[in-house]
Amino acid sequence: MSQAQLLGSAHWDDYGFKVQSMIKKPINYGAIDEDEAKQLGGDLFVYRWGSAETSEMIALYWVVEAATGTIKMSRFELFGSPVARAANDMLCMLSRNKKVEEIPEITYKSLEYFLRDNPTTEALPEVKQYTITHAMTAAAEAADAYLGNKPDEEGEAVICTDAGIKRKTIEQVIRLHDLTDVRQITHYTKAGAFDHSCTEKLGDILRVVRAKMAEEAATVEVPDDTPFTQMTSEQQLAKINTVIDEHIRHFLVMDGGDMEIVDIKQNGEHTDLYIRYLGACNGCASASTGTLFAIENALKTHLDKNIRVLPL
Amino acid sequence: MPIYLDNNHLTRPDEQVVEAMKPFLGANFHDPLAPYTQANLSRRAYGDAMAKLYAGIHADKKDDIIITSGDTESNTWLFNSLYIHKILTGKGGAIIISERAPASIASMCAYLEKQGAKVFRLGVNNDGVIDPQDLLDYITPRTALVSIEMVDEESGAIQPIEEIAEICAQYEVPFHTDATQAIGKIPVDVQRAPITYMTFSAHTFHGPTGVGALYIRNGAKLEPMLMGSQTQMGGQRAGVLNLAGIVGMGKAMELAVDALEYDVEDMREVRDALEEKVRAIPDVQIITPWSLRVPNTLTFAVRGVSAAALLLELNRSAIAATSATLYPQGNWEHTPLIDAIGADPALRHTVITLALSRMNTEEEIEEIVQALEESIALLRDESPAYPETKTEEQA
Repeated sequence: MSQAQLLGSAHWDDYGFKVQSMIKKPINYGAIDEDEAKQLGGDLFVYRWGSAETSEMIALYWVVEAATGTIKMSRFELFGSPVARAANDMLCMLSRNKKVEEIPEITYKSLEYFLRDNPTTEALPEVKQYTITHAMTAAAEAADAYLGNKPDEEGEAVICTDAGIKRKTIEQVIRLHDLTDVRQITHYTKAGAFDHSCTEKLGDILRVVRAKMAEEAATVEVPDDTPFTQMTSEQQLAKINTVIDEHIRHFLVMDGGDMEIVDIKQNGEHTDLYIRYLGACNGCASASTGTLFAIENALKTHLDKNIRVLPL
Repeated sequence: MPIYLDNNHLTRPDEQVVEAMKPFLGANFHDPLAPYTQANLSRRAYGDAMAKLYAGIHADKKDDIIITSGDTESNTWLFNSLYIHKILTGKGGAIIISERAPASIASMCAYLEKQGAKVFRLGVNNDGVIDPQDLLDYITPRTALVSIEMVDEESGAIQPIEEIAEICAQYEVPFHTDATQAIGKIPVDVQRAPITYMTFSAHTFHGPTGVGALYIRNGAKLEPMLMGSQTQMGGQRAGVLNLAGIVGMGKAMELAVDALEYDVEDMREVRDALEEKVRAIPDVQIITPWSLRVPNTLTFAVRGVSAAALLLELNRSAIAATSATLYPQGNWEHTPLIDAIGADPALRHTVITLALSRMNTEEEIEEIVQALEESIALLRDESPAYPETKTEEQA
């Protein structure tokens, strides 16, 4: 328990400016019909997730360009907490001009950062984090349905019937947010919020996943004392990604941009890192100046002074 | 002007209550049990306030009304005492409560079940009311306690506690009722039924927050939970008395009983006028029939509209209302109302409660109805749960 928890933090007026405005006037709210889809040059794909019984139902409307599989337009309808409006609205924005298969790659972190007003304050109180999880689960399931991917049967098992939460979602949030407590699972998924009878099952899943995570960590862990230049390229990439996640990415995401690593090459004494700017960063004036120096500086400070960053 | 419709949760203290309390938050701060002359005014005020509480619920002078910090403490105390002195010692058997018990009782019983206690929960019918005959399936002379709320906080359904109390008396089983949602809305008289224990709390009848009571009929047993000096509350509950709170609760009780004559009828008229207009909104289901409900409550399901979203829309029109299914603030310790009355599960998260008080006015009705109609239309327009369920019904 803490002072913040004692004070409680799910007041409607406590949400940030961005979240408030998206709750009030979501841009991508409402259905898309066949005619509109045709005008946009694509086919309409509709996916419904959840139900009124479980407190949240999302209907996703995608206009997909058949030749390229690109989402030209994405909108949603919602039955559920108004906060979910913000999460779904932002996800619709992020989905646009992406290929359907890229949708499951949108990370929780990027969506959450997009909803923030400033880099250091979380967009939503703990008890409302589930709205982001639900929005992402719905979109990922929609992508699977569109692509005809068969879901893994074990993962499809509904663990919390009251909130309609599947095993795979619970496993995902435990890994993604490094959860250690059943209560945290409830915050991130709403499983066990209403009917507490699934608490025991949640505890079992938590134990199994934590054990697996510990096992995996033991096999891929990079010893802290290995110099950067002596690491394998996979280890280097992992280290670089960690530094970028911790020090860089949220600033880019806050401004509607992002970056990805294309390649990493040894060039004499230098390690050359080829990156591609995404979203608003692509074409931004500071992409080859301030932003680039910031990225390079962070990597030089935290990893190796001979790293060079080259935007493509 | 903001409109406040969350009165089953908390009421605004009456101006007269606030005035009555003021001296005891200042110059007359003395402990009413102190022997010195300076405490005389406090002692007199304490006596007056207690007399008002006894008169308000028609308690006999031989009975006890123990002041607590509110309904939660009263209920917790009773169930704790019951567990330690009746169930653990094997003197009593199961506890029988309602499926719709107040959160403090539902949570306490869930906890006691983990400790090995046996708890039976009586269901409600389609109207949200318990059938007293159901009690006969569970009650035995060894039953430790039967506890049924006088009024359901969410639906406003009045439970047949007189019949239930009679059955308990026949089996010589103690009977407890939580009257927190009843005082100030319907007449409460402990002489009309063999009630052994009764909980009430000032915050639901325009008194201050943080003060309530547990009524204990003469001869009924209860072990002290808050230990300390033996002078306060006859040794039943230690701690310096919250005199301002007690004075406030006494005044509030007096006003609540007086209000039953006229003000409550006015409130009922305002509620009824509002109800008529809400009933006219399509696909709205009012939960408990008019005749079985307290005069301040209007609880209804709005098909296809999430209660959480509707409450936020109402909040934009400066209307404060509530829903027991609101997450995380709602009450999920007991069975959701829609499940309890066996209604369509698709309505589970669509129920909101408008709880009025004698301070609401006729002028507010139009504003409430307009906000409701606009919000419902807006939310249904974008709700994936509305057209679908409607088509199913039509099919």
